[in-house]
Amino acid sequence: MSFLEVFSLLLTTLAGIGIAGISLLLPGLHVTTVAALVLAVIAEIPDVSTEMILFLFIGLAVGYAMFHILPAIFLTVPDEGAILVVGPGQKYRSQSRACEAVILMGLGGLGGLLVLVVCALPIPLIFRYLYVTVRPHWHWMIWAIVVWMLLSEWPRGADRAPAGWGRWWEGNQNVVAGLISFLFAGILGFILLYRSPISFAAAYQRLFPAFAGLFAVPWLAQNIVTRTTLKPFQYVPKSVDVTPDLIVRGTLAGVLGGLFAAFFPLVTGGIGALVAGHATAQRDDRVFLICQGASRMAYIVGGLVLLLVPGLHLTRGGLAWLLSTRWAVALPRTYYLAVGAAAVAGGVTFLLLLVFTYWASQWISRLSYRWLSMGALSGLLITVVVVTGWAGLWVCVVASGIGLIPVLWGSRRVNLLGLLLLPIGLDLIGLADVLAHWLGLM
Amino acid sequence: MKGIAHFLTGLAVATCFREVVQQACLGSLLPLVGGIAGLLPDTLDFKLLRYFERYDLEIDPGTDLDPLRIAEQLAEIMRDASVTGRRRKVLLRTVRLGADAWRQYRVRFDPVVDEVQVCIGPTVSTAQIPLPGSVAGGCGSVPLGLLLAVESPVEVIVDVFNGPSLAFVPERERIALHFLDWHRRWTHSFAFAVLLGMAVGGAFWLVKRLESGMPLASPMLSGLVVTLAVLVHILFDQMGHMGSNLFYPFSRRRILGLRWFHSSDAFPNFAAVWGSAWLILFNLARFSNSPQPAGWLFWCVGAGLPLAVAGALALWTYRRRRPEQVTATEVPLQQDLLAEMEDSEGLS
Repeated sequence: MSFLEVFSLLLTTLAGIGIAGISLLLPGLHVTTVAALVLAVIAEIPDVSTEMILFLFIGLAVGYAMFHILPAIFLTVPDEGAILVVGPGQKYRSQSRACEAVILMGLGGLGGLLVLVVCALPIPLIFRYLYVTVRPHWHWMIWAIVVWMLLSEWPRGADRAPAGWGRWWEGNQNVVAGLISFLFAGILGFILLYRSPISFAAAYQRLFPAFAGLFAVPWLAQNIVTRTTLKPFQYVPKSVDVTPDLIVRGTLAGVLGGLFAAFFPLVTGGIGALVAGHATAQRDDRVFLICQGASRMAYIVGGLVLLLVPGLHLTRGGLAWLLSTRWAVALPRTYYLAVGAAAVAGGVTFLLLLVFTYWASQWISRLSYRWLSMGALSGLLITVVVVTGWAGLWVCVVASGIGLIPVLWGSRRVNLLGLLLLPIGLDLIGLADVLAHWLGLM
Repeated sequence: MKGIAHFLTGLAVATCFREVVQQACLGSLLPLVGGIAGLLPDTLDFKLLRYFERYDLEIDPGTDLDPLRIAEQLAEIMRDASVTGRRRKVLLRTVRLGADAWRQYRVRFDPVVDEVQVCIGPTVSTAQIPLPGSVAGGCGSVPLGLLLAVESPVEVIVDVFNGPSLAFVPERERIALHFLDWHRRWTHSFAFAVLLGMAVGGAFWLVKRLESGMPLASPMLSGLVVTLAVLVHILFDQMGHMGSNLFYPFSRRRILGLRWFHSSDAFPNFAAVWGSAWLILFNLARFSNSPQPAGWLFWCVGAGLPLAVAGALALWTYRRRRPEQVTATEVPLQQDLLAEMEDSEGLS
C-alpha cells in the first residue's frame, strides 16, 4: 500500500472527525442519523469508494463518541448512549466542574480506544468463537437483559407514609413509572416497526424521531420550562483529580460494557453502559464517568470494527448497518487499517475535545441557558421534519410524552429502550405478530 | 452483592444442566427462570417487605439535628426492650439537604463505657463523599445502664437514601443489636429456596398438563434450577458481613456472614459477574447440540487474563491503601444496603 493511499485514508478519517464536529451544532442527534445524512450527500458525489466511506465513518464514529460528550454534560442533551451521564454531569456542572467531567469521559474514550487497539489481534479469534457459541441463544439472552433491566430498578421514593401499601406506593413510584415507560416505549416501537407513519423514503430513519423524542427533547423541554440556569463560571482545570488505577478500572469496565453492547443484537450503548456500571460496583463519580466514556467509544467504534472482522461480518449498530449494504467481505488488511485509523482519530479527537471544552466553558457562561436549550430544541425538531417529514414530528411528540415519564417520576431512562427491546425481543420468541395482531397493527 | 451478580449466577446455575441448554437452543426461556430466582430474595426484601415493616420508633431528626435528643430516644427504647423483654425496632431516618446533599450522623453503641453516642457528621454527596467546605457538628451521649451483646464499640452511619433500621433484642441478660431486621429473613433461608423450587416446579407441571404442546422443561428440572439459584444467592451473601436467617422458620436468628468481603466491594462483584459469564459460555459450548471446542483461547481469555488484570489492580490498590485507625467496628450497614439496591443512575 502506497504512502499516498495511506495519506488519503487518513485525510478521509480526519474529514469524518470534521463532520462529527459539525454535528455538534445539532446536539442530541444520533450517530446513525448523521451517517445517513452523510451517505445521502455522498450519493451525489461521483467516484467515492466504499473504503473511503468506511474511513469517513471511522472518523465520524470516534469524533461523535468523543465530541458529543459536550452537549450531554454542558446542555443536558444526551444521545441514547450518554443517558446515564446526565445526572453526574448536572452535579459536576452545578459545582462549576463541567470541564472536568468532560475530560474524565474523554479519558475513558481514549482508554477505550487504546484497549481496542491493543486487543485488535485477539478480537477476531474471541468474537468468532463467541458468535458461534452464543448465536443459538440470542433470544433468551436478550430477554435476560430485559428482565434484569426491569427487575434491577430499586425503589427510590420517600417512605414516610405509615407501614403498608401506602408506604409501598410512596417508595415504588419510580419502579412502576419505569415499567410503564418500558411498556409505552415498546408499544411505540411496535407501531413504528409494523405500521410506521414515516414515509418509505425515510425508512432508514424511522426510529430517529422516536429516539430524539425519548432521550433529548424531554431534557431540553425541562431546561426551558424550569428556567434552569448555568453556574456563571465553569472552572477550567489544569489537571484532573484521578489516579491511574481509577482510569484503568473505569476504562476496562467501560470497554467490557461497550463491547457487550456492540456484540449483542438489540443491545445499545445505553444498556452496555448500564451493565458496565453495575458489573463493577462503581461508587465513585470519576470512575463512573470514565467508564461511560469508554463504554460509548467501545460501543460505537467496536460495532463498526466488528463488521470488518474477517470471517465474522457482524452487523451491529447503525453505522455498521448502513455500511453493510455496500460491504461484502472484509480483508484482514482493512480491519487492521481501520483499527489504526481509529487510534489516530482517538488522539486527534481527544486533543480537539480539550479545545472544545475550553471554548464551551467560555461561551456557555455568556449565553442564556434557556435560549441555548430553545435553539437546540428547534434545531432538533427541524432536523426531524427535514429527515422524516411531518409524520416524524408527530412520532417525536408522542415519544417526548413517553420520555417525560422518567424525568417526572425519577425512573431509569434506559427503560425507554423498550422501543426496540420489546418488539424485537418478542419477535425472537415468535410472539411479536400475536401482539401486533392484538394491537390491530396487522 | 449487587443485583447483576446474583442474576448472572442464577443464569449460570441454570446453564449447568444439559437439558436446559438444549431446550434453550430450541427456543425455551428456562435459563431466565434461574436468573429471576437468583434475584428474587433481594427483590422481595427491597421492593415489598421493607415497606410492611412496623417500627416502634422512627427517629426523624429533621434539618436541625440534635444529637443528644437522638441519643436519648435510642437509650430510652433500648431500656424499654430490656425491661419488657420484647424486641424493639427503630428506623433512623436520613436528613436530605438537597438533590445531592445529605447530612450524615453516626450512632455509636459503646459497651465499654456503657453509652450510646450520636455525632453529627459532615454534609455528604449521594456517593457518601463529604462536600467541600462541610464540617462535622457536635456529639451527644447518654449512659445506658445495660449490658450490650457486643464485645467492642459498634458504629452505624446514617446518611443517604432511606436510612438503616435497628432492632434491639433482649437475649438473656443482654441487649443484642440486629441491623436491617427486615432484610435477609425468610427470603434468604434454605426453606424458602426449597419451597419456591417446589412451587415453580408445581406451576410448570400444571401448565404442562393444561397445554401439552408447550415446549416446557420437566417440572422437576425447573424446580431444581430455582432452588439452586436461590441457594447460590444465599451462599454468596453469606460470604459477606451481614449474614442471613438461614434456618427460618426453625430459628429466627441471623447467622453472621464469613466476613470475606463487603457487598459493595468492586472486586468480588466483578469476579462473580465475570465468573458467571464465563461459566455460562462454557456450559453453552459443551451442552450445545453442536458442541464447540473450548480450547486454549477460552481458558486464557476467560480465566487467565482477567485474573491477572484483577490481581494486579487489587495489589496496586492494596499497596496504596493508607492504614486507618480503627476505634469502632463500623457496621457495614449503609454500604451493604446501598450495594444491593443502588443502580448506577441512583448515584447521579
